[in-house]
Amino acid sequence: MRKLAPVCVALFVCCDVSAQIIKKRLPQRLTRLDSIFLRDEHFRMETLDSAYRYFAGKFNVSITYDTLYARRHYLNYWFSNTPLSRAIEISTREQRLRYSIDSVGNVVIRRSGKVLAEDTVSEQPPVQVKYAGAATKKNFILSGRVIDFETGEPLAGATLLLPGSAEIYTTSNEGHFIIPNVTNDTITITTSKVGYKVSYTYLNPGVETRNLVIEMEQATKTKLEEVSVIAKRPDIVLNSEEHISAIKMTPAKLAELPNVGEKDVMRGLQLMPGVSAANESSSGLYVRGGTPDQNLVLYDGYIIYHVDHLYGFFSAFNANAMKDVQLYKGGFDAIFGGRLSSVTEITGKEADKKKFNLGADISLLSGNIFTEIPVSEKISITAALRRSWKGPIYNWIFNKVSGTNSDESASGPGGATTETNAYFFDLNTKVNYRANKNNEFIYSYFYSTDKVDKVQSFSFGSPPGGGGAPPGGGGGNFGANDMTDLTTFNNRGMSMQWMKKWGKHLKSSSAISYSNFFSDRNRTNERTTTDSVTAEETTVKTGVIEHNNLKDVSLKTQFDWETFSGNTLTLGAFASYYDIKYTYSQDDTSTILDRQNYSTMAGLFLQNRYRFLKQKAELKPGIRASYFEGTGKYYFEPRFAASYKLLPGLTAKGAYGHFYQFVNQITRDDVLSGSSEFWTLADKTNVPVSKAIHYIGGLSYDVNDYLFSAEGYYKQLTDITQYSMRFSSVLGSKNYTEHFFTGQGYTRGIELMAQKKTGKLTGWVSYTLGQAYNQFDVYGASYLPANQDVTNEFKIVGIYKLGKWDYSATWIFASGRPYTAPGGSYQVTLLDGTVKDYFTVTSQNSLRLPSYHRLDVAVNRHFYNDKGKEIGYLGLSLFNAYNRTNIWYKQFYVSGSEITEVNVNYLGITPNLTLSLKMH
Amino acid sequence: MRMPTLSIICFFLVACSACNKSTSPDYNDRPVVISYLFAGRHPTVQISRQASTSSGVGVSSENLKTLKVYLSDDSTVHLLRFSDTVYTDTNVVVAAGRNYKLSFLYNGKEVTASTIIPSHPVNVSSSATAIWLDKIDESTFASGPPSFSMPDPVDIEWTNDDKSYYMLVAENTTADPELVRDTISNSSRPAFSFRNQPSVTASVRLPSMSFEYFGLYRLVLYHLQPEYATLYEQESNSSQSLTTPVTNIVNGFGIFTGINADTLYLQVIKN
Repeated sequence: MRKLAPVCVALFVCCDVSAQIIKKRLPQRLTRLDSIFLRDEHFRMETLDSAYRYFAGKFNVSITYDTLYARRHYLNYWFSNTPLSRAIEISTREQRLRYSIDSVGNVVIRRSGKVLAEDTVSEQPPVQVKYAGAATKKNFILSGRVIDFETGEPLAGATLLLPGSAEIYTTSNEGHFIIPNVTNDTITITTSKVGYKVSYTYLNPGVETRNLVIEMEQATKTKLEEVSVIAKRPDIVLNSEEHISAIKMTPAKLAELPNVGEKDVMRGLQLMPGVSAANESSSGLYVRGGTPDQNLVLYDGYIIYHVDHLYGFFSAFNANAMKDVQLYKGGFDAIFGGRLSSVTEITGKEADKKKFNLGADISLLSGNIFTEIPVSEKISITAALRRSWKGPIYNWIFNKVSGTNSDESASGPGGATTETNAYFFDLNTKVNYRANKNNEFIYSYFYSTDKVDKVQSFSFGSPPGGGGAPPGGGGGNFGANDMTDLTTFNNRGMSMQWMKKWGKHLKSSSAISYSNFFSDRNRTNERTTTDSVTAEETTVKTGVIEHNNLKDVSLKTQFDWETFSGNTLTLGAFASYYDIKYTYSQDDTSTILDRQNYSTMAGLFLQNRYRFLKQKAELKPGIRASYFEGTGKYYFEPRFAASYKLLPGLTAKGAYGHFYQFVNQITRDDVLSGSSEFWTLADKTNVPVSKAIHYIGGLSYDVNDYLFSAEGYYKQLTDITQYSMRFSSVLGSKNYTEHFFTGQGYTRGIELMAQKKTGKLTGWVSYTLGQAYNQFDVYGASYLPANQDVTNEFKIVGIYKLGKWDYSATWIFASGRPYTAPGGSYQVTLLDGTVKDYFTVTSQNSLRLPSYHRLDVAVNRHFYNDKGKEIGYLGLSLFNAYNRTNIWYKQFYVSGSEITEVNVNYLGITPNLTLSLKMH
Repeated sequence: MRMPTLSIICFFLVACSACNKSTSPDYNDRPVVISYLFAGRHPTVQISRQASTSSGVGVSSENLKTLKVYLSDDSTVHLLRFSDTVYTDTNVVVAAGRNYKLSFLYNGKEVTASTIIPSHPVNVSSSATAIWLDKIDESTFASGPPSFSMPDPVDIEWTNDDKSYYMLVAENTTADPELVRDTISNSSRPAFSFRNQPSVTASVRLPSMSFEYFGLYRLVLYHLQPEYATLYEQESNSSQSLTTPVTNIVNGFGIFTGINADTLYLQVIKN
């Protein structure tokens, strides 16, 4: 029986994979194809025909292959710095194809079945491609065999037809045939047999006339099923062997994983080892014991400073607008800098150059619409828009976190009306302009906003001459009172990139980018009173206004030069200008804090990647040098990464590096309105430049359908900052002073992962053992656990595909995070008689919350059009399926002489339904 | 893949169940001192213990009534006596401008604090000594839309050249006073007093709506030290951000501060 040819699924970029999985390989010499590299080419469901034409055109290589066959089979692979020779090999793997590369670099790809001893397959020139030249032989005898392509078994009773002749020739029981008089050696022979696809054999002068082998494929059931089988094998998580501690992911495939209202890129990354998954209230990444502000988030080259939507339950990234995401968990290249822990690099989606596409998603939380417009052959545009709506999930999360009802539109006493308006919205667009083969310009724009607006207004008194006055109103004076409670977070970013190829060995990428984060918090009461006698209007504003505005303009350029085979030199320069403003005022009159920092930063980076020992070993030293105006100093960051293939499939990797961070995100706790975050620059006095040193080592074993990896890390942190704003006790100063406490810390851990990449059931299991400890003099001399310290974290993700359905489940277990509990409490009676309670703390973070665990499940039903392409899906998912009560934090209250503890919990069981449709 | 997966899960569950450790927070037996040194009065120092989350754990054996509490001004040291609920000395009168220090031994540690008594508020004036308010009750609305007269707010002013902290507390001293706004039948009665926060100002405006009752209001203008103002700081009660409050007591908690005040009176009369 015929097995459908499986398609390549997950990918590992190996330079030299073992020969075990290759059925038969022709003797290989190093050819020029070994020095042509595919930098970062992703083939997702592309026909082999399209892929080979692309290779031929791009690299000026001649590839001969069976077009019909290649149009029916697909390549599904992500090449990252792969030599073309290896790419050809990968494309033929599992496709029942064989390839050969001659000394000049011409590639010939042939179909192969089971190889029988008497076959001299390697010598047979291809007969799947029509020969265009002139005939050499005429009127000759042709004999040979017809065999089953899959099994190699001879086929009896197959009929052969020649053009222009009514004669039918039939094969014997052993599959043999003899045609006594073939007109010439360029004709086409048509072979048929019941149960098999018609086979066309194109004769050419090189054909062996006495032992021609004709292969026939079994007829497939339906084209649709073939395609749907292929569609069952998309790549969801890709583990890059190129860089240590790196993960790649295709956001479009996140739809298969369970989600809370949105398929979310950051939540997907949280399922990887080394990234904490137990933080429902932050969509920023806690990577290897680091905090989200130590993770650089780049979107098409510009930095995104605020990644949360809806109090952190989702991220500001619309998965429909993204092409891929790469997370470097540590030891990242000299190309990146400015953060202590990790880098998340997001590339926006580029439009399909040929077809217009339009799609929409709707779920219980938000609506999403996206489009891909090929304007011309050279220009294409992508755009995606997303907005939440006040459905059950939004309300649920909102109520939980803010403690108020997001759906409020109430009328209160005295004719007061309250209206709550809360939503999030984001927009992504990208324009690609391919000027010519060597020049490409890309413009990308991103905008995201979160808004919570609670306005309460009432009027009092009555204007002379009419109207009733509400009870409690005043006399002839009248007016209005507006209570504003508005919180907004906004992110805006854009970049213009220019990618240029200067020849075969040199390419450059330059960009100018702008990023702006601004947030406003306005909790004020504005009362306007008009004196009935004098008609004078007075406005009094009380309350708190907080404003943070960060602007970042950056220039960056990078040159990649392939100096000689296996060696790439990267050189680049960057410059940034920062302008950060932060104000905090009370009661309209007193500005408690008013800070504005400006600074510039500029620098260079240099890196050399050297491959040797037949591509088995790789060394990548690098250095990054920056000058930061805020402190007036130079900073040097040496980086080093190495890998070595010990055995086929087994690679050892390591990395080391110094990392500096110049911009800090401070979390300020405000009892009145919840905690808020703002950004501040390092300077000479208060906030130092923080530093981290990474030591990473690991092993990975990639064999057939499985991947196993183990990695250990140690990060040493110095000059990290903690913040507190205290009422000043210095006479004559403003009411509040800011205190920045500096300290040091370390994180270390081991990550283990086992992944099954192919098959009906795919998924992975990961376990991380880690520690994150800090020491601040203000809390004492000993190292205390950091707020994000999680000792054990275990994750298991499984996806099972069955026809048009897929089922997935994820289970996360994390040991409890530390927390601070009061040691005691006391009361003070103030001068007006009121009594106030205070808590005392003996040691910070000395206790642990109970462990966190939850199970998420999802079911998706995919829809296909009549060409077999997926056009949508309907998904049902259940978050926290067994409704585990996970504690987020505790609150303490004094009642009498007792301290009571109240738990604030994370989300319970939450269902979600998503419908997604697109044109193609 | 299923069998290995199950055994991996089981292994980790077992391993992690042993990892849970939770101990109750430490209780550090340091005393809580509450001492307001009012100029012109005898000093009083109230010493107590913190309430602990777990009963009795970590409490020292110190007797709160038999401590040796010393109060020194610029020249002399006085040993305070425990009387009723506080430590005091009826021979001492707190004087403005003097620097006072507190010191006593508790649980093996020396607890100290110091403060300066602020000066008497100067040039204190009020824009009015009496205001007239309309009574508002059900009868007000009986005959169609009413018309009210709202008097001007009362402005209290003083001199604050050295930019120190002041706070005004107003309290109704009339026995069983009448409500100014008596419309909502079964709501609880408003407080007899109100205050503003300590701030660095030289005036305060009291809108007429602040006075809930008719009668005689005593307005006390306090001249305060910064350590008192820190008492008003909003403290977090969340386990994510709990920290020890700011206090001017060394090796202890609470407040030890000097206070001076001036008193004014305001009549709130029914129209």
